[in-house]
This record gives sequence, structure tokens and C-alpha cells, in this order.
Amino acid sequence: MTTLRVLTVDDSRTILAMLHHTLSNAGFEVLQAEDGKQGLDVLKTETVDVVITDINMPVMDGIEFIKNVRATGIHQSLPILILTTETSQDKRDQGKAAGGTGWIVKPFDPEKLISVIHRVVH
Amino acid sequence: MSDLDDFKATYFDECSELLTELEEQFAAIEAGERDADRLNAVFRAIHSIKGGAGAFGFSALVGFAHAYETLLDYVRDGRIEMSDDVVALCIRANDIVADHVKAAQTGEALPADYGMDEKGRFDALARGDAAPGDEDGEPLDEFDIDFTPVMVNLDAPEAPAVAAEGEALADDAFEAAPMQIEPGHWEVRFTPHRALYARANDPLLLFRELAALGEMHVRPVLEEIPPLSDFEPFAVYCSWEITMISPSLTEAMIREVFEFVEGDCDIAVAQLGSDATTFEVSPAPVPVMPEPAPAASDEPDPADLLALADDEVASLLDFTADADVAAETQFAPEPEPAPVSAQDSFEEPPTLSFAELAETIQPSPVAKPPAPVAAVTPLRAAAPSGEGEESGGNRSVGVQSIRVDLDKVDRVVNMVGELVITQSMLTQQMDETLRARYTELVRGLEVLAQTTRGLQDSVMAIRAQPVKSVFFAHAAPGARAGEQDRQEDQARDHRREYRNRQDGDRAAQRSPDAYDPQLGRSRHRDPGKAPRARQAGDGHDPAFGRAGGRQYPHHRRGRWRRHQPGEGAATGARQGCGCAGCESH
Repeated sequence: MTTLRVLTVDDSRTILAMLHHTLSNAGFEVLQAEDGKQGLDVLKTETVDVVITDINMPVMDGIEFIKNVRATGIHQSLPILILTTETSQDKRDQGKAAGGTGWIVKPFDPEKLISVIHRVVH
Repeated sequence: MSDLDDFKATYFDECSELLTELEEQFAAIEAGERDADRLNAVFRAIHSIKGGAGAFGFSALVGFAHAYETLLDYVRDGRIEMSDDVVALCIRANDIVADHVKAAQTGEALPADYGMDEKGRFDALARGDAAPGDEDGEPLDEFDIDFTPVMVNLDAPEAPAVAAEGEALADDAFEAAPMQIEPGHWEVRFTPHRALYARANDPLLLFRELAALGEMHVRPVLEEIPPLSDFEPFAVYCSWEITMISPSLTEAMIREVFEFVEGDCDIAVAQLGSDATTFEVSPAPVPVMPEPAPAASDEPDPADLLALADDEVASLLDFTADADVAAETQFAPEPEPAPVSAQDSFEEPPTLSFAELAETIQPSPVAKPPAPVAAVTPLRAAAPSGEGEESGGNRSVGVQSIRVDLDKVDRVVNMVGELVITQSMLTQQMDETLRARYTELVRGLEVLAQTTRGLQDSVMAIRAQPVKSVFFAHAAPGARAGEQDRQEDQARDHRREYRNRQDGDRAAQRSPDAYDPQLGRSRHRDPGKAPRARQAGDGHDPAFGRAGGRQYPHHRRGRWRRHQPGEGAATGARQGCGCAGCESH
């Protein structure tokens, strides 16, 4: 079975570390970026199966990042999950409107995180 | 140390940096610089602190940070003015956040009402300027599709009510509800919209998830597919009727599967009590097209073109279907995903029917495929295999450095020191007799010595920390903004001074076999051997030399002295010591 590659985009080292730990333990290959621009740079050279992105980030926030990814022809079918909090319904909606596929609620339960990823990838 | 402890340590390190940044940003904001970048930066800092706190269950911190974050959100979008009073409140709030972080780190309990006054003021400010109910989010005007969710709930036991509703919905496929309701037997009508595909959702994945809930039968509804001449390439014509059978199944479980596509599809869920022939007695689904043109007799039936074989459906969905039902179960592949080019919306692009296309592009005999999917493959093949490619694990593409807790680095440094000493002792134990007898062992020890030196050099090159924040912390608050360049210059000068001094000291110390307890080995070098050249990018500045020399008392014995609270920034953030030996990257 092919290892799924996940790009995680978040400016919080804590969240990146937790995502990496959880995803690696689940057998995913993890790529990391600290803001939307870095995320776009990664996608220029790397092929990933799913993207997990925060919304509030410096340089390029998650909304702009998603819009840019979707504007790239080859990434229109790339699943993008938004990291959001229970109370950020508006951010979740904005992210979805920009082209987000689904969302992950922080703080995330590891099992739930993995199951959500499997909901959006083949 | 458990993983959770590691994450907590990372979190508290990050908090220290974020609190320092908050302090810096508010020094500038207090001085009048209230541009959007600064407001966004302070919002992100509080947001990150809150996010991590939520992960570790620091509820008091989450509660306060959330109120603070809401205020900052309103400030940055202009709903609340960043007046001097608000600035003063925020600066006070920063201290409260710092206290909450410290309490979480040390396990101390703060008074239950700590920060409640400020939190109350946040809430009052937010309430005063925000329209009631506005907190719940913004409507998706530009993406809203003319869709009114249809909630078909046939749970009500009163049969007359169901019948009356059935009359009102005379043209609905679910009108023919059976009289007897059977728990665990559900009918789902699923009609995706274009936006569903544009956001990379996939009906097949939804079916896969549904299939995990129980027995499932899927029937595609293809009656809406127009004749080929009217076919719009990017329109969505296919919907599905799904029968779910499982005793424990609830409507909430079914709807949860469609959670991500809510608003991007029509979804109707109904509990029925009939057998698997329900769809056979259902009338044809209501056509969405105003006038569904019947397929011309000389044209192939689109259903035949789009339907997959039954065994394909079964294998895709991985469920065992009843043979009779499977015989009539057809599964259509998803319609063409809508290639959305617009960045801002998924509004309907101008569509052309095939007939119109034929008129406009008559000279062209062959239409090009719309999506150059093949471009993906060369891109992947051309992807450079960088350093992260080799590691295979955590690929940090575009990130050239990582942060590691100082204690961890110290532990590694100490262990390497012990290793070097042990290696030296072993080497010294080898007298001539042993050397002659155990040549392989000698060779192995030589390799060990080389490797150990390399390891030691590498470790010494990484045990340093930035000095910038120290200079920053000592600067007067009012003078901080806009002085970053000057401080960096100052740091550079400081570094240069350190280099010069170290070069001088090194020359003075250079005596044969002078054993350096910190380095764990003799400083003696073979006079015939030139200093080993360092590879660019190995994390070591050749001009800078080795950090951690004897010149700095707190660097002795190979350990960094931890800075005490209050020694650096007011927040207690971990700081460099201020000497240039702490400067590295």
C-alpha cells in the first residue's frame, strides 16, 4: 500500500509537532510548512495526497493559501482540510468557501484526525 | 519524558516566544503604530496560545484567550477601534495570559476569578460593537447555491400526517412512504452540486463511509442527463438514491457522513419500512431541468454510458449486496469535476452546450480535453529529491532550521563528551603489544576516534542560541520599533568582537597536548595536518569558530546555564545569555 503524503501547514510549532507525531505513527509521510506561502512552495515541487492547514498564519493565511491551491489547475482535486476550533464557525465557512474540502476541529483527537483524513482521500 | 511532555515543553517554549512578540508588538502599537500587520500578528499570537492550550486542556487559559482573541478579531476587522484604552486593556491582558501560561506550566492554581474583570470588559466591548448574533459567522453569499435543505422526517408515528405531507410533496420521490416504519431502514437521496466537486469532495468516498455503517444499496438517478447536444460539460446531472439497512443506524450517523458537503448538495434522509424494492415503487425522481429532453432513440442511453458494472460497484464500495438488488443497482461515476479557475468563488462560469460549441468551433474537428491531467505525472517525476526526500520521515521542505529544547541539546552534548572521554581512554589503553596483536581492533578504534570527533564538532556547532532577543529585550520599549536593523548590526559587531577575542585566546592556548575538559579531548593537532575544512551548510560558521569556549563562565563544563526568571525579558522567556557565544544562525 502506498504511503499517503500529508502536507501540514501551521505557524504553531506545537500543532505541527503534534500533527507530525500523530500522522507519522499512523503511517503517513509528513511534510511541513509554516505558512501558506511555504505551503505553496512545497506544492510546486512535491505531490501530496492531502493538505491540512491552519487559517491564521503570517505571510499568507490559510484562506489565501487554499484559494491559490485551487487556482492551480492540477490541485483542484487535492483534498484540503482546515484546522479550526469549535468556536471558529466563520473561519470554517470561509475556508470551505475558498475551496476547503473539510475540517479538523482543534484540539484534535488522534483517531478522529486519522478518520477525517480517510474520509477525504482514496 | 512522554510524548505529551515533549509537546508541552514545545508549547511552553512557543508561548514564551509568542508572549515576547506580543510585548514587542504592543510596544509599537502603544507608540501609535496600529497597522493591520501588527494587529494580525497579535491576533495570531493569542490564537496560537489558545490553540495549544486547548490541546492540553488548560481551560482557564483557553477561556481567557478566547475572549481576548475575539476582541482582537473585532479590532482587526474594524468593528472595534484600537483606542488607547483598548491598548491598555490588551497590555494588561498580555500579563494575564502570561500568568495563565506560567500557572499551566508550573501547575499552580490561579484564583478562579483571575482576569475575569478584563474578560468581562472584552465581552462587553465585543457585545457593544457587534451586531447581535453576528458572532456566528458570515453567510456564504457568494457560494450559496439556490438550495433549500429538505428535511424529510418520517419518524412521526401518525400515519395521516405522513400522508398529508406526502400529498404536499406529490412530486417527491419519497412521497410513497410505506405505512409501517421500520427502525434501521433508511432511504437517502443525494444530489451533489458543482461546488461539492470543486472542493475536492467525492461521492465515492461518501458512499464508502456510508457502507461502513451497514448494508447499503445504491441506485444512480440518471434521468436528468440531457441529450448529448444539450449536455453541459461541467454541469452535474447525476444524483443517487441510497438504501441503508442497519438496526443501529440513526439519521445523525448518516448526516455526519455528509457533514463536509452540507450546502454543497441536496440531501434528504428518510426512515422507511419497506423492503429493498422501495426504489422500484418510487416514481421517477423529479427532474431538475425545466424540460428534461428524452433521449433520442438513435442516441445511446446516457445511463448505459455512465453506469458501472455491478461488480465494479461492489468492489469499490466493498460491501456484499443482495444479488437481486445488485442486479438493479447501478452506480454512475461522478460527473465531471468542475474545474474552478476563479479564486474567489464558484459561481457558474459561462456554459456552452455541445450545440453551441459546435457552432462556435466548427473548424476544429477535435475538441481538446479540458483538464491536462497528464501534467501531474511529469511534475512529480521532476520533483527534486532534497534532503528531506532521503529522510523519508519528517520532510520540512522550505524550512531550513528546527528548534530544539535547550535541555535536550545539553544532554546530547554531555553524552558526546562522555563518549569522547571513553574513546580517549580506550585508545590510551592500547600499548604496543596490544596494537601488534589486535590490528583489527586498532583500526576500529581509529574509525571510532574519527567518528567521535566529527560527532563532537557537529554537536558543538549546534549548541548555541540566537542573541537577537536579548538585545531586543534590553532596548527601551519606545525605542524598539523600527530599530531591528540597528540591533542586528549591534549583534554583528558583538559577534565580530567575540571572534577576534576568541582567535587571540585560541592562539594563546595553543600548546601541545593541552587537554580541554570541555571539549573532552586534546587540543593538540598534528602539525602536518591542516585543519579539517567544513562543509558549507553544516551549521557551523567557520569564521566564528566553536561556541562554548572558556571565555564565558556560564558555558563551562559543556553546559549552558539556564537564565533565571526576570533575567531577560519581563515575560521570563528563555533568552540567550547576551554574549556572542550564544549567537549562531
